[in-house]
Amino acid sequence: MADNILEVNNLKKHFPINGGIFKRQVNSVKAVDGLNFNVKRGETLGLVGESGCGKSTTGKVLLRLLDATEGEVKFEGRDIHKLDKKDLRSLRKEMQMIFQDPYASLNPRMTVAEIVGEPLDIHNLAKGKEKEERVRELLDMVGLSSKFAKRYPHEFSGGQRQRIGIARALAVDPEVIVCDEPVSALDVSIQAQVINLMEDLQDELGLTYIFIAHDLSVVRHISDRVAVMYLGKIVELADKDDLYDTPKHPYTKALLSAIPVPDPQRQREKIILEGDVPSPINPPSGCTFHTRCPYAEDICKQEEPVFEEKGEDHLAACHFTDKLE
Amino acid sequence: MEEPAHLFLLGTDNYGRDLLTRLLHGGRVSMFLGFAGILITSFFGLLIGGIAGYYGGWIDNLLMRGVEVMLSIPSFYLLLALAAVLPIEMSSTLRFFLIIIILSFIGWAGMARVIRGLVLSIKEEDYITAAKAIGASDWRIITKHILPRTSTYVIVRATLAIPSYIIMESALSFIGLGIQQPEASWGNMLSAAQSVTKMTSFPWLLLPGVMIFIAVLSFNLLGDGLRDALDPKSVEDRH
Repeated sequence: MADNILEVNNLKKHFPINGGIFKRQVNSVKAVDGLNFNVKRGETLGLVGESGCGKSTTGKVLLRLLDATEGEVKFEGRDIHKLDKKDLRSLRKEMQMIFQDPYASLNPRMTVAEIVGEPLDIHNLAKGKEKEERVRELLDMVGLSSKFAKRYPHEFSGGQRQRIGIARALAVDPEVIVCDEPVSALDVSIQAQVINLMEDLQDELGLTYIFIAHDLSVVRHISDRVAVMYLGKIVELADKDDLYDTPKHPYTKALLSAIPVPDPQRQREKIILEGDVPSPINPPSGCTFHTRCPYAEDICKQEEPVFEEKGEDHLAACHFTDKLE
Repeated sequence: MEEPAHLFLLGTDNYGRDLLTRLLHGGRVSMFLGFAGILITSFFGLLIGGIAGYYGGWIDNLLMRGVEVMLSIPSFYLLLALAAVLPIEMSSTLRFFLIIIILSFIGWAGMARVIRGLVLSIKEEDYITAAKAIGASDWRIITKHILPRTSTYVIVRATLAIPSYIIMESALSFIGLGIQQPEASWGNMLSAAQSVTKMTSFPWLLLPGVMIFIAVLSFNLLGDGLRDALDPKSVEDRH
């Protein structure tokens, strides 16, 4: 494989559940349960799935904002979960995050200049006049006037706040940005603006995005490749057009069939999944999707399907990929 | 007015000392005591509450059990016990500072507990995660991102507590353990007006009480102003 900026091997994050008199660990929530994927330099990898499938946890574990239970995340060949404190600090300059809620992700007691300038202080990147200049430059990059620098977050709209959050992430000149549903809290018209901004920045700065979202249309628009998650596992990973045109996993197919089409005349077959997402505390045996899968047979309950190539650069975990077509 | 006489604007106490002079002097003592007391209390409350809330786990457990021990002792008896171990033969300045320490020692536990609760909820917010992602140290996150958010509470509590410190000092003085005669504080001056007879015959002896009342009111107004000044949302014409 060519230039992988990020390699994820068997990544797991289990949250312990303690109970009983002695607070023993009685069980665990398997939020992320064995992820394997690579991210190429300069691409946008979309990560989609239902609520509670472990998307956001994945994002946090990738940045080591949470410690992994098992597995490794290699950034340019180094496992970030094995870094010591000092190396981790310098890693923070390489990997950044953009958050979902533009109201919660900015400290209400700091001005825009303080928020965007904080990373510069922490990593001693700029001081005094130089710092002011850099903050102005960053605000300019995200399309905000530098006269806003002295204002507080509550004086801005959601879209503007999200731009401030992006400017903060860009301050350290990162390589990878994990975007945790960056537009799902915004109006549709603002969503388009922010997405376009992110695309422009990617071209300009050569950024790599991991774009977490549940809106499949947005993901299709911005991603190069898309990974579909279900119950803490990636069930399908492929080039976006490949994935949207010829899904190789029944879950992906069901998700895609639920995208609204802006054409009332068009007839389409909607696959409605029955039941709820099973609990990640006791995930079903075999293929975790067998409880809701219209194609499920006995083998699905017993054997976990291998996550393997089903087409060119098209990975999926299903026993009956062939039946889908 | 006859020649050797003096002008007593607010009258005198039972030793013939000028009440106005003693009020002014006692005010210095009482106000400083309240102020210094709440500063120390807030410092330890914020520090211990902040650490307990942010780190959680066994650190939290250890600190909070300590707080519970403090809280389970009735504060007035703790005050008595602490004051009683002080030697009687002590310079009044030393005694004064010890009283401040005693008062703060009683106050910090309750404060730490509330701060811990606030920190627990604040630390879950996204911008704390953002600060971690930027690479901010724990100390920076606690002092720059978490504790400033508790300032509204701290200010309200401090302005409400200053008066209670003044009054606690009065209580100590009243039972003879606080600031000792001939030093003046509003508390020990007020203790001169102990009986109904005195209050009706010499009502001006109650003036220290009026001063405490005014101080309490002023501190509350100060607190309101301070809170507004520190809240970015209340500042309208900044630009």
